[in-house]
Amino acid sequence: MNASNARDLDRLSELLADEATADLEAGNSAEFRQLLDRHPGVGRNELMEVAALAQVAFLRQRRGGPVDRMPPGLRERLASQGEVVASRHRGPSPARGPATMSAPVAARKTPAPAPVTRRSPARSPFGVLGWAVAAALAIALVLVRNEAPVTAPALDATLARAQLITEAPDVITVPWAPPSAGGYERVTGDVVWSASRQRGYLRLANMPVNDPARTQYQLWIVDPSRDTHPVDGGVFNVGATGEVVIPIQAKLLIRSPAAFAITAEQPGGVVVSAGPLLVVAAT
Amino acid sequence: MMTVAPTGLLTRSRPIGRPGGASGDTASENVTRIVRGAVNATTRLTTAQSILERVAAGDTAAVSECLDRYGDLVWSLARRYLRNAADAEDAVQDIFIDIWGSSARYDRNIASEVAFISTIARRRLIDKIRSAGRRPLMDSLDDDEGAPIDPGVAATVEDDTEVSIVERVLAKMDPEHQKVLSMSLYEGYSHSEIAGLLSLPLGTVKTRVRRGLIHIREQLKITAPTDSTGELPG
Repeated sequence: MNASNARDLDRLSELLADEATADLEAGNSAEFRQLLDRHPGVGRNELMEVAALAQVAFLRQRRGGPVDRMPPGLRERLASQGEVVASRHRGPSPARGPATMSAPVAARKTPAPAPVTRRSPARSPFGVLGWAVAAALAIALVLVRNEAPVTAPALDATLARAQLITEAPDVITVPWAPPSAGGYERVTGDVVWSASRQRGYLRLANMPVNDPARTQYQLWIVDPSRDTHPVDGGVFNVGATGEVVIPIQAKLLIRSPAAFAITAEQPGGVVVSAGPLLVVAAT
Repeated sequence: MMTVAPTGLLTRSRPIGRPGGASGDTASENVTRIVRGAVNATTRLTTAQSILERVAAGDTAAVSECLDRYGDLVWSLARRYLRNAADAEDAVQDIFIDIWGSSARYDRNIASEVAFISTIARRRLIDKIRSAGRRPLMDSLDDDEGAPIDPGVAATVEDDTEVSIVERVLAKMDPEHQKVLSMSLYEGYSHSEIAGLLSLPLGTVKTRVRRGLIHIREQLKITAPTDSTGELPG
């Protein structure tokens, strides 16, 4: 092994230990990725696994083991979801369209609100975002049509979202940062997006309900690498629970999303939005 | 004194017992023995199929068993990272969805179930904390309103050999390395915080953490357990 390789491996070992102990600094992320790419034979998960086992060992030593009982309601939800996944493993399931957002076409049928699968706290943990991105989006928003159909229950979307997070190496998770006023202060959730898969999911909780006959929410995706105009991500509704998980399938290539934003528009959406921006997620 | 071991994949071989025959047996008796051995081996392999392997094979009953066996562990880990019960519920839901979805990738020759599951849990919880810009706050949950200690709950982890090995390694580890690992992994302090609390240079803390983890990893490789049949416990 040459000296350069040995230095690389030593440094990679340091960063793997940092990652395993939740101490990997954001500034070292690029170096970490490069070293992993250069040394694919190094076990990426080994030290994380050791850390996980050690944490369980400490838990057992200090407190006699896992002392907290899972709440029964949570267990029931997990059991239902697990049975759905296990059933899928067993064999092909009936073909079903993914739950996606509809393009703003006047004649399109209004999609049903997605059922709830998640509890969320009645608060927003995210700080208020500055309005620099909002100012950029306040420029006329030009629609680029997304023709993806709308359907399917949120459970499928929840599972598919988790699968994307697990399997896509480049997935980003961007939390919503609601404004300090305007009725959307309690909105929480996030957007996950994978440029390599060109897929993502929108997750919202505590979102005010819309009356689909009067207003629909519309998603916009800002990608400076494309052009100055945000890409339409489709329209969606929020039901009585205030919670949705919806796939995003932008028809145009989204390489480097800088922000995601939601506006309230007429049913079917608009080509040019007058705003305002209700919630924004900036990378 | 510990040494830094070279990196490498953590693997364990899993020899499968072969049926054999005693000299002097008739051909028929040999065939019977071989067939019976094959049936027994198949049965043993079937009954030793892990919970995650059964989930991956579509066994919905295995889902409930997985929750029975690991649900409280994952919940306990989540509660150590997330004081808010609703946040912890969301996190545990994400973790188990990941576990169900990843079950087909589980390989018992590479890791035990508790290692696989607790690693997924740890990654998810760290990601959740980092995305919220927080560090885990683990030092006061002993006083929280959680359920009282139930000796039966500990049994799900009690019989896991890898955790037992790690416990023994930690018990024998020199106090300096054990202390920093405990402060990092159990109490949730950052390396900088540990350095401040112990009046140590940051580099020293990082070195002790890394060497401690690598030492545990090497001991796991050395002492990979097998049962009397030569197979690893499922």
